Amino acid sequence: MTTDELKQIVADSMAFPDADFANDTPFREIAGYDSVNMLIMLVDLEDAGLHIPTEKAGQIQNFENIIAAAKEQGVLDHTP
Amino acid sequence: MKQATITAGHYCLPPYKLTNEELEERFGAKAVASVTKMSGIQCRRIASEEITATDLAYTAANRMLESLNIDPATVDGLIFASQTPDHPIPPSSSILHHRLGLGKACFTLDISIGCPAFPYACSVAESLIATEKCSKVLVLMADVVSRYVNANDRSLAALHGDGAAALLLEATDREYGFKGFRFGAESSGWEHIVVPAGGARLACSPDTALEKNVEPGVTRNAQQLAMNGPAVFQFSISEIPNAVDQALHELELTLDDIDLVILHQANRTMLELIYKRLRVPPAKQFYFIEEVGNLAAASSPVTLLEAMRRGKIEPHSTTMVVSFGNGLNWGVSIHKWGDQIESLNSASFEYASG
Repeated sequence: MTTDELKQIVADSMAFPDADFANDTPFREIAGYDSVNMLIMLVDLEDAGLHIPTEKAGQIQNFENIIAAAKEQGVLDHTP
Repeated sequence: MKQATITAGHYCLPPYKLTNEELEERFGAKAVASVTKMSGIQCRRIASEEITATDLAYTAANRMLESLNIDPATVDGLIFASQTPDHPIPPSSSILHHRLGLGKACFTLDISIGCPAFPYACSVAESLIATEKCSKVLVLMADVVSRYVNANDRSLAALHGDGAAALLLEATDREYGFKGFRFGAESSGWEHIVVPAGGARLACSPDTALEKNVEPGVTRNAQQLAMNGPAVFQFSISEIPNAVDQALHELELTLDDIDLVILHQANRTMLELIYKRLRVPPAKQFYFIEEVGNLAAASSPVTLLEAMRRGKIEPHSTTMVVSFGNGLNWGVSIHKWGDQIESLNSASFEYASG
């Protein structure tokens, strides 16, 4: 999975208008943010093979946090 | 050692139904749709201000005892599991003991625990019976969590309902009854489900009563329930399947030995993931969340009793109840049913005062 593909999963799960947000932009600052959709995103990431550990799940603030988890688990095959 | 078995049960829900349509008026259709998609909850039962957890528990217990013609004086144990007691002091079990007319020679105890209540409360009752300190124990589990939820907190108002369940545990010489319990705690996450103020650590004050808008659609004050949803979600789908596997292994059982797996009804998507990870086939799954929401301490026993009411539990079958949540605690209990299941009586499960 590429970073762009991962970002698209996040954008779709979070019901953001598009995937055109900076990696360090807090999700809360993106139009359409909804905390419940964070749970939907976690499920979708699970389905995509990325498990966010319990101790990190409550600390996800932005896409960078998700990239970090993905790198740790080796699920990214391309990181720009 | 005596065996302890569940011989009767009843549950009670407040009559008022908080529907998604009503929530849409409060939060908007889009916001409610996202909660519904995740949780599967369409409706919750909410207790009005004059109804407490002990009112609901009393009603469930009283209807059960009356329907079975059980003399309350013969009950020698009462356990009340709840995180929404009538008062900080005294224990609500004392209030229930008095109201139900139980005898003086009776063990009474409050267990301050929410969602994981079922295995914890039942294991205490089972221990009392196994060691012959008691022979007939009422296990009451009830919560009115809505009291602690801000009406303008979309993330929680849409999830929680109120309710109570009553079980009667008795001694038996037969081979059925509780077959084992296992427990666990991931207490580093205790802050993930919290009502910060109102205890000895942080007293209620004008400051703690000040409402804050945490995010769009989420308003609360420090005297109300706050939950770190993503952290609790990940705890549940990560920890619970392992806990179940471990419990089955230690009790020398497999899923083939279990006929029905009841999970704490927190969130439909979460339950589906846990069932999937455990490889529980659909025939052994049961959901009772869409119509009532997350009932906290009452969730697991109400779901068990509803499964019984719908004929999902056969004589001689074995059920596993897995309860988890605040703490972050979990418990697993396994119960083999006897020849005859004294299930819910025909009385209404809706609360009525008087």
